[in-house]
Amino acid sequence: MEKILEIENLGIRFKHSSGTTTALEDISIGLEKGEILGIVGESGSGKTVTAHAVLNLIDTPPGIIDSGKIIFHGEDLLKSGLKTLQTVRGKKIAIIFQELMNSLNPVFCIGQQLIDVIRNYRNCTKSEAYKRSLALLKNVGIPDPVCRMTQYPNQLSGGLRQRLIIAMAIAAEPEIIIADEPTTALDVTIQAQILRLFQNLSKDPGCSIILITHNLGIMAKICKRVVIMFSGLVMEKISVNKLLNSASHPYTLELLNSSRGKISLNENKEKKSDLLGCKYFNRCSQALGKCKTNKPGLFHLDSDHEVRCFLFEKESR
Amino acid sequence: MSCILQIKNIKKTFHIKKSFFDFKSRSICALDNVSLDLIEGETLGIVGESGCGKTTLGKTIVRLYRPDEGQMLYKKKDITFLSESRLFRYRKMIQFIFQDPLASLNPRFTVGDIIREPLDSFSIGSKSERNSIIIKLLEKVELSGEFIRRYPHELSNGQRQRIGIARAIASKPSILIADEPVSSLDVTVQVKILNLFKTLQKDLGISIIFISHDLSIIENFADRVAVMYRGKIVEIAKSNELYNNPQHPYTRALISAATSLYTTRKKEKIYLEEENENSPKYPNGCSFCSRCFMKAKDCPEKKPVLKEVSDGHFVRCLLV
Repeated sequence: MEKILEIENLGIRFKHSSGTTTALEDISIGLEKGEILGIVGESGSGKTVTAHAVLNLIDTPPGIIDSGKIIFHGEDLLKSGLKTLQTVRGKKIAIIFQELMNSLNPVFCIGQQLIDVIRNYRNCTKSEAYKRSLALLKNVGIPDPVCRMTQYPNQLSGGLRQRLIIAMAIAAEPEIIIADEPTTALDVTIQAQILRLFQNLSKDPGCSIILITHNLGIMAKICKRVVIMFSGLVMEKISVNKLLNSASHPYTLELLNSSRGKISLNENKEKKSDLLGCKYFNRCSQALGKCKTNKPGLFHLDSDHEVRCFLFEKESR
Repeated sequence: MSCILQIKNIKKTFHIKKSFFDFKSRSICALDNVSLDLIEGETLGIVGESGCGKTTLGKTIVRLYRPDEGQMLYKKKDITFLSESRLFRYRKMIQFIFQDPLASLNPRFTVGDIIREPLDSFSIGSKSERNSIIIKLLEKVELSGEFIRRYPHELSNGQRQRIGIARAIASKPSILIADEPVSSLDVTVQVKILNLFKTLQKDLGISIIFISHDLSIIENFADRVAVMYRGKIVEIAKSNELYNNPQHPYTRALISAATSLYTTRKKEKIYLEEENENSPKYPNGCSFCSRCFMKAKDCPEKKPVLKEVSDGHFVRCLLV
């Protein structure tokens, strides 16, 4: 399969009053056409920063992009100018932000916002845009679209708002959709509907989707591959059918145990800033002597399985 | 086993105006004849979609809302319509943990001040003892004593939720009502907080009412589970029984929609249609029947009642 987007060795730091914090370190992720890729990790692990970096949305300063490329159709998005970015943002790569309420303008009705979005992407009259937005609302399963068009964001429930934002994201028929925790605030029944919508999108127009979440259950349900992140590093890349049986990184195992309701025994010691070696060392139950001082690289175990852990150094090919 | 809290046919209606100039107000029945028993030392899970009345039920039990009708008995004493001053003693015994850990802590108070508040207002311990009580409470929620001088914004979300729990158990309550206490936390932290609830329950013998929309959490954590829909309890049973043998169509839909990695159960695939203003309404019938995939001829006309299908398993559906 051809790669549609490639993130190569991305490294980002943020400046603050007492020095800099490393947000991302050496992130390399490839996205194939029509696939749903999951990114899991706890809060602060750099999932959202990765998503924003893809669209070059990181403010510099305070952000510092140390290294890396984001290659989309042969062009490095991190180096391209504002004009090129504007043809990509929203039109070819759309993003669904985490904060639902902040991504809609409270003083404009929904119809107006949708029409604005559509007319920004293509040359058409208002009435054409209106028809198109009705079709979009129907597409994402919002009932009674004519009435909804005149309502304001505060009159919609969380599920409807989420679907409205998805409608805006797919308005320009993008090639990639980045969804940042799209179902965190929703009920399970609505969550199931939205996941089904994503599945249909990836099948029908062949949209690639990057799904960011901390729920492994959702991952297992719709993703093909999973990237597990911890403190700005990719800890493991694995295909979903292998996740349950042959996941190997201790952090992945901790995540799996947590969703099974088991607790890992070793407590979370703080102070991760002054770690020289593996970032997971303080919480790891299987740490080796060299984990403290040496940084592990990504070891290839299989064609679709990579792990950043010294335990698997020998098994790597 | 003795009942610590009995709720009988509680009703609560809210009146809402569509706009400021709207003279007709709409009424929404948030709790419609809800009856529940809470047994001493058990964990009762309450699940349902947003807007089904889970939180209203929790807040009514703490008497933050005054019920319209019905009766609530705490240790066989009627507390339904107690006056504010009398409620004071009752509130010491029943405490609430909120969903958003940051919003429920005063940003200008230190952790010590936050936990001291219930000690002060219920006059627990002498003034000099209170510091050591606070440190003991912090240790109970697995935090060290040095947190006493920190402010909420300096803590992680998991630590904040622990402070919320420490504050709730400060007055040594016999009932804790936890309203989605882990939904804003990471999975690894979620498990730790849930385990903390379990150890506290073992040590202090607290009964817990655990409100959540995440069925996989409830499954591992609760002894009994009540499923709510539109202000009514549609099914209540022991946790095992409910998950392995769900009877009500809504419960079955919920369980099929839950995403869980580890299920040995056979999965049904049920997709519920969402309701909107135009979907047909059946005021005389079952409130779920406009979305129900098993709708029978009688459903729009007859109101179902809670029926016991097996020991302790109640279902509100005509088909059962």
